[in-house]
Amino acid sequence: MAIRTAKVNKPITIRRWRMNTVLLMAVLAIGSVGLRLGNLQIVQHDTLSQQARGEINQQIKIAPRRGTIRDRAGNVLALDVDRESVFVVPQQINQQNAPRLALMLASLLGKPAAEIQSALQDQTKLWVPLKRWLDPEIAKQIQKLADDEPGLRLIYEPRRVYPQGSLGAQTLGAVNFENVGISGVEGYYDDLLKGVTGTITAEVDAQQNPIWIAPQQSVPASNGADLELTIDPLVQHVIETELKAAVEKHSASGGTVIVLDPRTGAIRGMASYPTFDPNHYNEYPVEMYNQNPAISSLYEPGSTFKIVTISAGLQTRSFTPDSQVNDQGMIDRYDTTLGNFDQNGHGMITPGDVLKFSSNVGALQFNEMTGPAKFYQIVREYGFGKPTGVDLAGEEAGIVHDQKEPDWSPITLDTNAYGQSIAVTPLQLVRMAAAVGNSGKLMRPYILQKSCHSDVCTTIQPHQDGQPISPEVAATVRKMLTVSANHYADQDGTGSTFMMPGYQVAAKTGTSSIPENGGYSNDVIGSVVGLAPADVPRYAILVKIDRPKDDIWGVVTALPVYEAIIEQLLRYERIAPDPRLVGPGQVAGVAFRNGQ
Amino acid sequence: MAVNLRQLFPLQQAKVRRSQLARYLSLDGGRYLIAAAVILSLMSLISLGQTGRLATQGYELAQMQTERTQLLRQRSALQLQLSEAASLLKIDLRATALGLRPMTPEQTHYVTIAPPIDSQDKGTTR
Repeated sequence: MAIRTAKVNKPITIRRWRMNTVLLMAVLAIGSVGLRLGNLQIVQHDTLSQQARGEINQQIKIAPRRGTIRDRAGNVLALDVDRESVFVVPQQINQQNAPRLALMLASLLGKPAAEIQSALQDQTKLWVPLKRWLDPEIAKQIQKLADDEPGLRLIYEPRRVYPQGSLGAQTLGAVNFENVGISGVEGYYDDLLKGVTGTITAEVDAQQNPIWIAPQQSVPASNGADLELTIDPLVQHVIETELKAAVEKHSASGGTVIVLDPRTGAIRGMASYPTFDPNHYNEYPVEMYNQNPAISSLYEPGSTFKIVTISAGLQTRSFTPDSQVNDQGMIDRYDTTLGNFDQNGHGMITPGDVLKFSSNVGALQFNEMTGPAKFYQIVREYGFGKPTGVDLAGEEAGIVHDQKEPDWSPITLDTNAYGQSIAVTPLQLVRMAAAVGNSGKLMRPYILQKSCHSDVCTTIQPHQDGQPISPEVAATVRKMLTVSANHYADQDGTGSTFMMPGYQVAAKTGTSSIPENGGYSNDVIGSVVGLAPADVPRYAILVKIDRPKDDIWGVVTALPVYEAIIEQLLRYERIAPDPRLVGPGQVAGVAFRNGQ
Repeated sequence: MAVNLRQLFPLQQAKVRRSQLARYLSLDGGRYLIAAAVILSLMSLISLGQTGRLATQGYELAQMQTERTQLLRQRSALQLQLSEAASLLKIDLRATALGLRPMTPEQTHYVTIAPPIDSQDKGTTR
């Protein structure tokens, strides 16, 4: 029988001091961990948790889309388009390839290669912008380069684009590089157009994309309102084309044309020349894109203001259409000799003749009959001396000195009668003509006819600001202006020809002197204001040409523009001509061409 | 010699205990632990499944948002092309290139259309 013997193990003995040492070290280690843990979890809890939340939880801004602007026919005048901008991260650029890359980018971006190369090699900067808002084709080619070069980055940025170029530029205005409206409709309605920025507060990944499994708070962006303007594309095109041609032909310094709907005050066209392209506004002088001469340029209206003089006298019953004064060509007032533009007299003339012959002497005598109190009351009621309230940025008030002001003198009443010593904006003047064409009702000019925000549309209603003259006086003045218009076409003195054969149109010309260094410049401003057709006006039109070089009165420059515009607009409105209103040798619908 | 069957045949005992429902449900400590682990596992599985599903849907949502952004960009680019093509200045240039020219006023002929006979009878005019 086998005997199993158990092996006796010797007991392991550990000295107590060793065990205590190990235990002490363990206690110290655990204690230090505990202390560190306590420091992190308790002492620095708020700071660290805030830091962690800051890294993971982020508030991402959602940019709203700026509203689209359209004309009354629905054509887009301004819209936001996402365009790619190119940046470089120099630290990620392969520096050996930098010169070659700079050359390729230079040809695509149209910038000097040296400038691009210095940007690629500038290690002091993290992020260098090369060019913003690339054309899609260029962006595609740069994207191909960026596929092999991680330091070349393309990101989308919203860009305001004006697809019609300079059409209606001064009315539309422009937005700056921060997408803020700085002039025109863009400036006036900036709050409406820009919308409200939204936010997403959420945990994000490395690419700043929200992690959807985590709870998040989202405030959606509210896009800007879409605006529809009263501008008629054809009217705008016609007036811009005719204005540009006239300014260039007569080497004028500039000009303005405004077309209003007299019944509502809606602006159908508003153009000034020279103009600018809002897509590249920064390439033009500041005053070019920051001002709209139609509402901000003050000038002495000259003889076109005689419409106010005559209508004020008729409205206040200071004289009648049959009243007469003696026009001797020149007249002395307050130690000053005042005269007609050609110094020629016309004998005994009526208010209608004052408009027909553009008699300064007649106008001032009739104005003296009216008197300053009544005259300036009507002037104010027409809205001169204060902004019209048009919804465009940068409108001027004009200058009217009346008898209540200390620097007013009686001779001012006389010179005001023919539009001197008073300053108006082109819009104020055409609005006055529109009131004559709208039975005396003065409408507030407006450019916005509808705004739509989130499928809710608001239509703007026309607003009447007053009634300076009665319907009867307005009709009388229109008849006088019709005679005045046809007078320009009356070459043989028979009175049988018409400015616009087939139609009755109203017109009054004016030559404005330009104040300069306390006196008057040798240059002039020629203007025509009128209504077409005269009986039931569809359009109130002002043509103003500044400093034409080959026309001492300016009228020979402005009148053909006026005639060309009404010829096209009446055809556009499809108003059939009246065969009874066609003079010998005239063709219905073909305007008499003054000065041509 | 007495044999302790209780030690040798636990299955039989289990069968007996199963047949007695009241006793069967009264689990001992080990079984409580297993039950708790199973329940926890199931809960974790459900939670994991839901989280995974949410993550997948979140990813799909992000993809759809990217797609939506791209479509909106395409839309605005097309709108821009359309607006540029509708510009009167460009239409004018294209028409001129095609050999068209503006109509002269002399070419305009207005045709007067008499009102219908019945309205003439009523003395109305148009």
